[in-house]
Amino acid sequence: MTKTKKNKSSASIQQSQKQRSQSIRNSISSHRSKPHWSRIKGVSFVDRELAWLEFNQRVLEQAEDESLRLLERVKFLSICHSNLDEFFMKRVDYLRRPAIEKSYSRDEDERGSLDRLNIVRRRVEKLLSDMDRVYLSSLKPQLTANKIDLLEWDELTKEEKINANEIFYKKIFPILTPLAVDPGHPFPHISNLSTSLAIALKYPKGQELFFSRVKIPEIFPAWTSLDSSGTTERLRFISIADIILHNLDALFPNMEITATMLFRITRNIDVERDEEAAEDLLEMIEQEIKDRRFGEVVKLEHGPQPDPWLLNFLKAELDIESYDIYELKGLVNFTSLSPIYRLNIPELREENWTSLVPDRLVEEPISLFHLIAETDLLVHHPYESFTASVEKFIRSAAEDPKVLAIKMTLYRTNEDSPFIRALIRAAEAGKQVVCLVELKARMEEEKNINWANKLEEAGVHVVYGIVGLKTHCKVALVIRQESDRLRSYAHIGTGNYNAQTAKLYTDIGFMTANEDITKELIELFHHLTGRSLKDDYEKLLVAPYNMKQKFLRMIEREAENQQKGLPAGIIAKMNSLEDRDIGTALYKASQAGVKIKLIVRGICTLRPGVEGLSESIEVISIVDRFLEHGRIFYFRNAAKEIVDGEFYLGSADWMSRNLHGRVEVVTPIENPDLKERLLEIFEIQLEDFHNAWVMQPDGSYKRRLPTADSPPLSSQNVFMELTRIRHLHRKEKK
Amino acid sequence: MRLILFRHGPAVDRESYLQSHPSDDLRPLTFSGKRKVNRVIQKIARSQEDISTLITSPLKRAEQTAQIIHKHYKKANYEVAEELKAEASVKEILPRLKQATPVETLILVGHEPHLSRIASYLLTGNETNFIHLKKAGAIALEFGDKVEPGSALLRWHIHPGIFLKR
Repeated sequence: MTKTKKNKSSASIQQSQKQRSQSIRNSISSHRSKPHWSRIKGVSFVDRELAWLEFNQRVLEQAEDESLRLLERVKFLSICHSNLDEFFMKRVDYLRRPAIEKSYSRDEDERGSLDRLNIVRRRVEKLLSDMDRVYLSSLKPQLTANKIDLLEWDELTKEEKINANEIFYKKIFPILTPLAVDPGHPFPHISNLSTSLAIALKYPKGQELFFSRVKIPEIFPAWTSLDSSGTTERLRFISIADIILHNLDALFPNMEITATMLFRITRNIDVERDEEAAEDLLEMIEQEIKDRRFGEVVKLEHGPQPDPWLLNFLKAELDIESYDIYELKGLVNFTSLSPIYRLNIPELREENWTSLVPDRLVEEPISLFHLIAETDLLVHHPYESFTASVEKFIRSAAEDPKVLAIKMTLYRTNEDSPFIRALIRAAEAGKQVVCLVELKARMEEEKNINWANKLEEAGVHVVYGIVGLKTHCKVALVIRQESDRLRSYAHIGTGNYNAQTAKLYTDIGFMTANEDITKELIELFHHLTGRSLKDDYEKLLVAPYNMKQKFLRMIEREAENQQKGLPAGIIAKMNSLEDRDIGTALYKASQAGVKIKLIVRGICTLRPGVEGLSESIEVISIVDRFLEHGRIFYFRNAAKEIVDGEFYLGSADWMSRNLHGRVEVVTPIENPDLKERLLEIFEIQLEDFHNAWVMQPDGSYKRRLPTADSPPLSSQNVFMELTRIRHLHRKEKK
Repeated sequence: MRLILFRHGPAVDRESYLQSHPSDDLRPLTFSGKRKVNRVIQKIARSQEDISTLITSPLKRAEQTAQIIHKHYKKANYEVAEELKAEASVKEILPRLKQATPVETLILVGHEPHLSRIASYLLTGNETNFIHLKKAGAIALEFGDKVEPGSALLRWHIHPGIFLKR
């Protein structure tokens, strides 16, 4: 990381930041228990990278699921490819390192272990060949059967070719930039996730081959419809890449084109950063975004039968090896199918779901704050409206003259965020507004910097989090002047303050005025914005301070209760489970006989149902139209009735990254009505016999099949139906 | 004779390394440090065909750098020289350079500010360094028939940052 020079007393800022982060680190390490899992016999976990790819396989199976609408299935294929890109961007550079180190070493036989890279590569090859198969033998023919043709050039009619050439000359040709490579023209920068044509050229009577590259422009949809007359019933599409490929003569007149190859590259974005040396977090992230554009190439994808000269040229210029190169037979980029799955053909799409106003909030006009003061609220998105609850919470706070202060975290927020607008309005109205912007959300930093600057201009106190820790918690706090005193209102969620993803991700939000909780949140904000080193939270579970310890203790307690013959049991729902200390504690609880049910959507490295190790642990994964994103935890704690056990929800997964390297908040839920709701969510999900996958002891997954007693119910459909009923019921009562 | 002065690549953080290790001499390159050295020497190797001798400081970070360079110049003689340690006097390396024939190219791998003092001495006859080498950066000097202080010409100076963009 380049250190940028700053004028004003930067040395002292740097020094104090260093001290602060050191004391934070010390306080973290005192909470860190030694990894003891490795010393226990028989304990074994699934490889984390393979667990990631296994999730992708489940997403791909959705693309094959004939019970889903066709365009929805095309979308799942596209998601599968973009997840795979993310895997390469974040995980693969690290796996390639032993191979690269080996190539730097003088002794040829000093070998690093390439085994993991090879294992991962084989798994990726299988996934890619499955993606090809799903596309070529299932989706493409079925699209054709539904009058949507994805064509290759040779399949076009004469008229269509003329039409395509016209599109080329009118729209595409002027913006293309063919880049030659020779001593006067260095190899161009090829950006991450871009698709390009590589072209080998010769002078008419020459021998020497020249390389040229044409980037497929991203400003057009990747597929274009050729039907200008509207006379045919069919939608006939050709890819922009194909149109360019068949008009290359126009770009290189009189030259001889000897070979062409469509390719796509993926770069590493997990750039090493030097936070300790950073003088200003914002500046550091800005630099990092620049660095990331030039991250190592970790994947090159090409179509069948690549030209060897072109491929070797690219290998040398991009500094990649054979193990970084993958062949796809269907398309080099399945994410390019977005113009297809976005087609507005109602009978081929899932029915739209419109979020409903949560039943308790139906009775307008009502002050949200009065309602929260009266009783705690729980909202389940996207079934219940995010706009009518969480957004409203911040919006009302901005407009309410009695509100004195708003404090919130923004991890990933969407473009044109209503939250940003509300915070700006609040600051302009003279309220104290504090916004903790996490610049370190991977792949999102660029956006976040823009918002951060906007907020600062409006007078919001923008704080960039703690050096060394990502602020991942989703918490908002509103301080209101009420007749005799100040009263605080809080929202603690499992999802980001992002109105776009709130429509696509399932999340839970909790709103409360309970002082035991708001008091600790105020202290947490003091910690995040000031210099407090508070780490003894009573109610809240806060990572990286008391959360892991508390979770471990609660898991142990269930084991003890089970052994004493008291009611025991654990249910937990999260995105990923990878922390080995938590895994080991769960194994031990299983050995004590505790029934453990886990709903883990993505990576799970714990092996369920292994004899003598984890017999009483079940793991299911739900992959459906909305991305499962909520984190809820339940511990029976000797309660006679299940619903009287302890419930928690919040931002943390059971991953080492979350528990050690991020600020996370998980809150207890004590209101009996809300406990009922959470238990209901668990029960409905555990009874999903449509989109649930059962994890096997070897780390693979089997789709759960409906039985006579358990009809094929998708839990997400049940939630939609339930929400609809509750909403109607409330309206009728009104 | 052509002389390339190459500074070792980025190594692990000194402070934290010394907390658990006794000597700075064994402090290794980071992975990305190795990568940086490799990228710079890869580009140099495109125009600089042969190197007759590669001389490195005995410190681990320099030796690791030299080994990566050696991968690109397999035929080069590989020597370790105490004269390239950071605390050595600038003049100490001179006799070794004088042994080289006019057609040879040598690479010295060492430390700062030692390398830039050598460069200044050879370019101007004065040890006061006016040039600075980044980690994994390099300077090439050209000599006529004789290698004398103040007789060198500067051929090029590489800031490694320019090669990281591809």
